[in-house]
Amino acid sequence: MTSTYDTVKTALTSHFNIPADTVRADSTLEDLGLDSLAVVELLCVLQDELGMTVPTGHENLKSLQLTLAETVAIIDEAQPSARAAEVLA
Amino acid sequence: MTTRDIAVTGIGLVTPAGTDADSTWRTVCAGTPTAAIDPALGDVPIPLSCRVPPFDAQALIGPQVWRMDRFTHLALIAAHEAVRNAGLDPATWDGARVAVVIGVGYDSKDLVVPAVRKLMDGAYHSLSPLLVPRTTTNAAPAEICIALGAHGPSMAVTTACASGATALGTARDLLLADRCDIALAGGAEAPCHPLPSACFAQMGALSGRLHDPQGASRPFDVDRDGFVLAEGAGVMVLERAADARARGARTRAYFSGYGSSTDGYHYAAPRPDGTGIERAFTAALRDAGLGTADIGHVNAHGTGTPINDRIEGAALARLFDRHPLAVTSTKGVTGHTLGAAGAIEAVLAALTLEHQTVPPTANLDQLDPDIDLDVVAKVPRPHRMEAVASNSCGFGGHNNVVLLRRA
Repeated sequence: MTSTYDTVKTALTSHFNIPADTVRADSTLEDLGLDSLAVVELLCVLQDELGMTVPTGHENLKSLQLTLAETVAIIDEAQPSARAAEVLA
Repeated sequence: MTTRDIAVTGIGLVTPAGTDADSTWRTVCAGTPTAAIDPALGDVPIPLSCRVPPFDAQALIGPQVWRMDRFTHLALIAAHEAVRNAGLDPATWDGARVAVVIGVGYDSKDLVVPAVRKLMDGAYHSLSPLLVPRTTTNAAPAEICIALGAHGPSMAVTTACASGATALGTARDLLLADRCDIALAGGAEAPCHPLPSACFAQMGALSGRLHDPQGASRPFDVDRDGFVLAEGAGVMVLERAADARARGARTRAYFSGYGSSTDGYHYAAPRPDGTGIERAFTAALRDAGLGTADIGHVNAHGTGTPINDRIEGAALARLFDRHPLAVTSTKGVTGHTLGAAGAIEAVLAALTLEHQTVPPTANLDQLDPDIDLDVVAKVPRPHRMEAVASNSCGFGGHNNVVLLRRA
């Protein structure tokens, strides 16, 4: 898993007090006990406290059925480094 | 006991003097002040506060602790303790008949101030969607209801620094009106933040005794110069006395009288002639069917501001007119917990009655000669009491008296 995954996991365990051993790549956000407001809170924590670029307007990002791996993939796409890589390619 | 008697069957406290009722009582009786320089207040003019000792919020509240503000943490901890103390099991009670009433005076600024900064920076998309439900004053009763499965009437009430007492009176009325069978009632406040600290300092309400933090909160002392901002919560479990007896509950005191009045005079200052306080006391005594001679002790509002203590002191002296009344202000130890104070002090009054011991007023070295009262100082005093009162006053002229009788 990417470092983005680790960052998201850190947010889930430290901000939301979710036990680390329950956070898995194939867990859905709903599995982790988040509701729709908590998902928005997670995105705010990622962009505000952890400095990540989060595409808050992404149409899929607030679905509780997204797995953690899918969530991380969407966020990864939005990172400046990823965009730069696309431009260079 | 009368049919209108309400039993106090559970108590819970989390205060600067301790994270439960027993430890708080011991510290209050020892007369140990809790005021200290508070680094978290930064460079405000008077960085003094009374903080609750460190506690593990997640262990006491559960994993959902992240979504709550600090005043809700404190309210929940006190509520859990009160319910345990009452011997009640929320898994088996009829939640539809359980009410929750929590007084909150000013809510917390820990979340609001950073949010305002983001707003000013145009960072709308990083504002927490939980800001509103976390910071509205009803967050405390709402989360207690969720945690304990209480589905009867619930509300936050606010009468500034009298909020906790107003909540107790409101809960009592719900029981007497048969709107519920069990009521969890009290107050919670977490105001130790630079914003309220700086604003209270601008009002001239805070003690500026920075050279002697432990001596800063000194109610009724001739050298008092204001209060010390404090956080905390107090909750009582109330039931109709007959119901409490039927389930074999331990009754710690009877909540026998409640009186409420409003000065209608000034947005912050108490009415100089103290008649509002007298009216609240008179109403509480009439409600309980007692006279002033029946009251052995008053836990005074006693903030330690020059004006409050003088006006309250004069009102009590007129009302009780040399009856052997042992007065204390526990704010000398706890500081002023604002909207929680009335509830915390009512719980302490119940313990005073139970132990037949009046805690001392911390830092009372020399009683203000203008205050003609027997204020307990230095050491706790054994005292025979059949009934006690807790007085609370709030900005806006709210006066509330909770009157307790011995079980």
